[in-house]
Amino acid sequence: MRSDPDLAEDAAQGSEAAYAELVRRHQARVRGMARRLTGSASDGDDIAQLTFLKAWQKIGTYTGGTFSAWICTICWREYLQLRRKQKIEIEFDETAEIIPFERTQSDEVGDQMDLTNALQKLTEAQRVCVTLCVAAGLSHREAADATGWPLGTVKSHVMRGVDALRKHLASSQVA
Amino acid sequence: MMREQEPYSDLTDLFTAEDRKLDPAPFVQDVMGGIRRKALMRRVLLGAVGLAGASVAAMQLPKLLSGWTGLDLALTKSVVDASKDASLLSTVDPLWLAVGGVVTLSLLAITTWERT
Repeated sequence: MRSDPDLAEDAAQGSEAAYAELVRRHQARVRGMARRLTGSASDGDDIAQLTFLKAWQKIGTYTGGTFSAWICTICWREYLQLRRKQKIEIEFDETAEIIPFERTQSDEVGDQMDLTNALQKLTEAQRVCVTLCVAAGLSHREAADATGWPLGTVKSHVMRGVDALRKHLASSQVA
Repeated sequence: MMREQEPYSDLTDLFTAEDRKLDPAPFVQDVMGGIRRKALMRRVLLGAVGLAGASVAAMQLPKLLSGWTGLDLALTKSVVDASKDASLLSTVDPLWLAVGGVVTLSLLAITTWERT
């Protein structure tokens, strides 16, 4: 099986087949991460799609190392961009509060995920750090680089988030 | 080497199992479709801009050619006049030939120096 850097090199030279293989390999991780950050399956998949489109444009800048950390960093930036856009839209859209959110089938599937539900009960910083380090498998250092947060902050959010997550999961199992 | 997230590897496994349930095929198709659409749009845009540029250039070509003919004549005349003036100058005073030679040699020396 070819390594991620080899495939990325081919993709940088225009090979769509090599890039499709990279997407196939990393889509689950990126979609899972985006779904957990947004708390919505459809929004998460939209962000994951934007992430891979952006990564295709920037594939030439990938200089080796962990491909998953590189793609997750792009995903994190796309998520931040969406959040900024949404805030602006809510500020200017007076009808935003009275239009009920239309739930799709994929959202209902997303609701079935116990872990995702437990994640939503964490503080935002804990959710981000747990999503990046525990769910997406980034190291604390990689997560700190991606978010721009201090390493110690990431570590403490992960540890507290993991504790809280375990408690929520245990209580949901008891219930 | 032990990774630092080992203490919660059980949770990582749960998340990974959850992610594996996601069907990759439609997502990969959507992403690659988006990439192809963008590439096609880029090609069409570049082609259209190139075609427009070529059309404008083709329309301006007669004017450019007529201008070039005039310019060509003017240039040739200037070069011939300059060489005539230079030869006249050197017949009046041969010292100008020596000055010209020194300037040429200096320029050659500087060029060679800069290259190395």
